[in-house]
Amino acid sequence: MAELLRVNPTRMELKRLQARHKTAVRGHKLLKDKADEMVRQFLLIIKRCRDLRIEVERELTAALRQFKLASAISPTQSIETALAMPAAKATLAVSLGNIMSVKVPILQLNVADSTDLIPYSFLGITADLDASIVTISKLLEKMVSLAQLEKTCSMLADEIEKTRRRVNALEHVLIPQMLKTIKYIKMKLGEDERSVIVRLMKVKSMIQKRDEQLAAKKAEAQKGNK
Amino acid sequence: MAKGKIAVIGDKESIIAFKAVGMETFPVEKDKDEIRKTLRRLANEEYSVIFITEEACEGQDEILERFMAQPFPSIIPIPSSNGTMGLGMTNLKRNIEKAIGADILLGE
Repeated sequence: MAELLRVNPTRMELKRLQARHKTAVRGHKLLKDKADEMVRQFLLIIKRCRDLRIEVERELTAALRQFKLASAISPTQSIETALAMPAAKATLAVSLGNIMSVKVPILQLNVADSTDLIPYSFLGITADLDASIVTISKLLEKMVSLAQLEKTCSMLADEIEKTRRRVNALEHVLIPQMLKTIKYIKMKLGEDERSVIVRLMKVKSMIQKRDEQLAAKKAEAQKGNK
Repeated sequence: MAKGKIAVIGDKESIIAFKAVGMETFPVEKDKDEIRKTLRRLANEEYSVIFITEEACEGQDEILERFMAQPFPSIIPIPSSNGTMGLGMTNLKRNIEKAIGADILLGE
């Protein structure tokens, strides 16, 4: 049950509350629309995100397994030295996007183009390793977009939760509270008004009575004079 | 923005492959404290994406959650060479439940 707001039951307070109520209702509607739209966007993104994750997980596991098998053939040290100085350099161009005023990252992969992806001589290392490195470098693009999508999802989910809390707080707490208080003030003011009227009526009847008595006394005095 | 580097955290065997394609790798042992420290250090540096193997990711919920609400860095669990444990999917599911209140997509 909504509690009353602690305010003085005056006409000014009533005015103020009515204005606040109007704002709250408008805010509630806006926030609700925002939440609805965010959920719609979220659903679109999460579907893509799920598909991409399944794809990346499958391909990456396969590639890593292939890599492991390939590296098992050569001694660990020679693999480590072979890969110690990578020829490629992956960096990201980073910017911020905006989905329903949620700041989300936008990632763009830049692979510094080198003529050769493989930084070692073909002599010491098996061809399987080359192949798995090529697969992984192709996967890189997908992994980066997965990173972007997952981040977007989690940020949107966060924001949706927050917005929904606000909507609920407005809908179930603040607005009923204000409505109840407005009603309370109106009743109180009406009650005051009635009590004033009753008092006035009472006073009037008292004055009338007194006047009548005075008039009667006067009449009697006049009679005695005659 | 200067933040544009990619990091990979995990056991040595799984992540050495990523070194070849130009990511920066940070091999860690199974020690949870060490993983946490590495994560925290990388997150404060110029890395905008941190891939972490699911094995290393276990038990790091606290720090993952802290970076969840910021645009950078994205900390993304990936399967290691031992295959996937479904952690990434669990995270997705959690997000769906958070946003919608029920899992309506992955339950199919």
